[in-house]
Amino acid sequence: MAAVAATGMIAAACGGSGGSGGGSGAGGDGDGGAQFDEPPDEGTPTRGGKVTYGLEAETGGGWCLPTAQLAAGGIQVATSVYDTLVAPASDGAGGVEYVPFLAETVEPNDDYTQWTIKVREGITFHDGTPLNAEAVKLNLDAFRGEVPGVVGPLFPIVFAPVATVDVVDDLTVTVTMNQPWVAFNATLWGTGRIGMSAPAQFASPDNCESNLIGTGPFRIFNCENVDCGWVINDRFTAEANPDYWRQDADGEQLPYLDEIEFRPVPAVAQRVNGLVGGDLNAMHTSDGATIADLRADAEAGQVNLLESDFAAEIGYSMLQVEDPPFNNKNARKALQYGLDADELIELTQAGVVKRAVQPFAEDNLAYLPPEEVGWPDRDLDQARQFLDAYLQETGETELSFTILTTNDPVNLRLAQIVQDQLAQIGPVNATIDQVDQTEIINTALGGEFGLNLWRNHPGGDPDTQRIWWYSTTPEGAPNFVNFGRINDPEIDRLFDEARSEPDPETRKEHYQQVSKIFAEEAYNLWAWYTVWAFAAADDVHGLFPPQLPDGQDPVIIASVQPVAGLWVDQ
Amino acid sequence: MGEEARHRLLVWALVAIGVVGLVALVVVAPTGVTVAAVAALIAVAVVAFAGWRRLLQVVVVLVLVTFFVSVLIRLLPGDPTDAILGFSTPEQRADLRQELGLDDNIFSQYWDFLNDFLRGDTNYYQSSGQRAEGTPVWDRLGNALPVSLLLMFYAQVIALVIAIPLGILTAYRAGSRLDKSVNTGAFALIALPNFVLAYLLIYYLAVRRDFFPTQGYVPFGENASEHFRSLFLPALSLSAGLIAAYMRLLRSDMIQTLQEDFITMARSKGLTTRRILLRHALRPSSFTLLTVAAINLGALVGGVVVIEVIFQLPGVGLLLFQAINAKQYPALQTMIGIIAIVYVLANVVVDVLYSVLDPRIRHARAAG
Repeated sequence: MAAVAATGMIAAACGGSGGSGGGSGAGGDGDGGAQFDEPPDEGTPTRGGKVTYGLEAETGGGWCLPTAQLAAGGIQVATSVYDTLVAPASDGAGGVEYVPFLAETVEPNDDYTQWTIKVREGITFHDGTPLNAEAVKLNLDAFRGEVPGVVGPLFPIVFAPVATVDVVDDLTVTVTMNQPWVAFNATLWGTGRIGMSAPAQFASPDNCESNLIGTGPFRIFNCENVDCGWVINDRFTAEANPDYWRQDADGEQLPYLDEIEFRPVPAVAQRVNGLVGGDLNAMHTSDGATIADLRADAEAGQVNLLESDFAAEIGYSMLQVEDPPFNNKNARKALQYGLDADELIELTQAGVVKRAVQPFAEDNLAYLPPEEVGWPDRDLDQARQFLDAYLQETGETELSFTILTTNDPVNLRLAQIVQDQLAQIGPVNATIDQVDQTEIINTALGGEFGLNLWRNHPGGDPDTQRIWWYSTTPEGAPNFVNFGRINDPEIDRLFDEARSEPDPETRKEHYQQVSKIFAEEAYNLWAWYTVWAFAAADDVHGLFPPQLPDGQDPVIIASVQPVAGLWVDQ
Repeated sequence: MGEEARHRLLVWALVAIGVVGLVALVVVAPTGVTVAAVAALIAVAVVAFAGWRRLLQVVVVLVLVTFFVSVLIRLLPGDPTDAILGFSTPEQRADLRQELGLDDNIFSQYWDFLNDFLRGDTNYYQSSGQRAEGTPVWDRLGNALPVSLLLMFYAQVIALVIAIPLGILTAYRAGSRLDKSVNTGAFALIALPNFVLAYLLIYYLAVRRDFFPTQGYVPFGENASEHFRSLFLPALSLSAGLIAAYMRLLRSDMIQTLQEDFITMARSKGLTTRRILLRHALRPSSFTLLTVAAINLGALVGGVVVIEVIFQLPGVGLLLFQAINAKQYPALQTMIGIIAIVYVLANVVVDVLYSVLDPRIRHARAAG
């Protein structure tokens, strides 16, 4: 439950679904999706140098991980300073598995009511204290809301199924659940947010958000060679951790860089200017038009580019289905048949993204071939029939609702195109309600919308999405993060059974059935899979992360790009 | 105290303000001590110039301005607790509202703010964690203020350095082709929004030619030349509209001044044109320019917000932008209150400067 909230925080913080991702980009097969997604052969890494990385936003609240609400920019910084117990890896079959990272082993018991986590020996935090079972227990308890002074609003909900965390020996903890939890290891990654902090960071809650002490490849604690630190709105500078526990595939110590500096540059045009002008030598973006331009630059050899829509977030229109008009299925079906997602992709995403007809990405366990989902093609005649049926049933003269989106011009444009498309169905009166990015979550929580332009649901395990569509909390109260107010007993039952189902095929079938229910009921109107692009100057390499500690191939999910393997030509 | 002695005290007080302020900005980040020192020197200057009554007037203006700002902030749409607690229940938001005093009336809220502010408590950024207080506002404002003040200062300097010679020249050659060309250019600069100019400068001078950085800030203490490089394009973007306005104002006043009898007398005495323009005509022509330069501090603050966001300068403008988006009321109130204080005091300093520039005002006061 919590993992969903954690993974979904990216979308929540990012707000609406507009302004990001791409379409069928340069050199593609015309169907959209990430290109430049294969690791190139870049030769032998050289040591030294500095990367200045442009981020899409500052993280005003800092990095006290149990309380922080990190978006893409914040997660990127977190991955440089902290490590997680597990990390996503390729399962060899096009999907994701969550493999031990800081942990040596993460093993469930037979019925998934208890997980045993053993951390690797010899790893230390940046302050020299050991990563041991006590530290892991403290961190997990902090995320559960059990450590005074560092209790956040969301992670206690995420980790609600955890009953206790107990130390077994110096390196081992057991996590006992109050219900079987098959995908608990996916939660432990939490899109890079569930990093392990040194106990000293929690010991001083007043500066927990700026006193980052992790086990990661870079540190800001006790820097020796670099003027480290965080100057808000300016830079976050960290030096290489000389005692980092990882090596590359050839046994070379990571990281290769001497220093990394993150700079918040919200204006994507300025981020690109910085990259071209030399003030930045790496950046990330999910803006479709920018990705299209970067592809041209990459083909010309001017930048190095890596893209990922692996286990991607979904851009879509969320409907609030508890109240009129969308508590009426005919109203929902009218929109489902009337919206033209392909046109939206072309007009707002520069054709860079790939069309989505279900809530799970191609690399997700639950992915269903599109033709089996049952999502209808656009059909204005059918849309009109459903609209007429709605009007007859309700006695209304028009289908009237608000389109909720953030108040930036890109999302406004998306909302206007949606409005225009829906007007073609018939008497549809959709008014656009723009709210500030900071308000959109609570506006959505309050159900104060008809249609909400949204982006969410990254990740490889569908269990992490349960929180968004399950009708109640574990305590039986209304689930306040089920923004769309979906109350579908069949969806609840499928998620319940899948959470505790050990057989992967049976689990998959449960989740695929969820996709079919969404297609039938049209609770949400899926549009595209987001593409994230990571661009660097032509002398910066290693955008694709190095092999994981036990030899597995890593994957990049959403905006989380590991930086341990970055290197600069010397 | 005689008039001349008071005048000398005034001049030395102003010099001391300038030196302390510069040191505080450039070398030492503003602290309560340096700010109090500057405020005390300004108070001395005001009393020396115009007496205790004027100082009382300044205090009243400051109270009215900060109260008005408090009212305006409360008129912002949306609930600040929505922004501070992104994921929260209505009960949690209600608790936060009580903690922040948002349900109290405006007078009560303002009184609490004033009490805290006068005791040096500049409030906190509210965090979403369990802690009752977040980061003190002054922690961030203290680092951001020098950046913005320096940016505004450089913008004013660039504007005056370019505008004054152009104003003199066009006044002297009023009606000529040069005058018309310069005026056309001035209108173009006034019409060009500063953010458009900013992006043009970035593209042509930073991206295509690596003359300046595209963004970011380097403190003076870290590297003086990089410091000036990092602020040149932002200051130039901010100064464009000012150049045009100042040039036009000075030109207009100087054209009138050049028709005065004392200028005719100076010419008849055989003084050089240069001496007449710079020594005799410029000073009496600069009062309007001075007034407008002070008033423009307010306009500069607005420009600073835009420019700092574009160039990612870690100044007050960027903090304001983020605080508004995040509905951080306490932080916003403090920041805007401090900006208002700086603005009012800057105008007071300008009033004082009049007597330095124009001996007629000093002597008239002495006679009166």
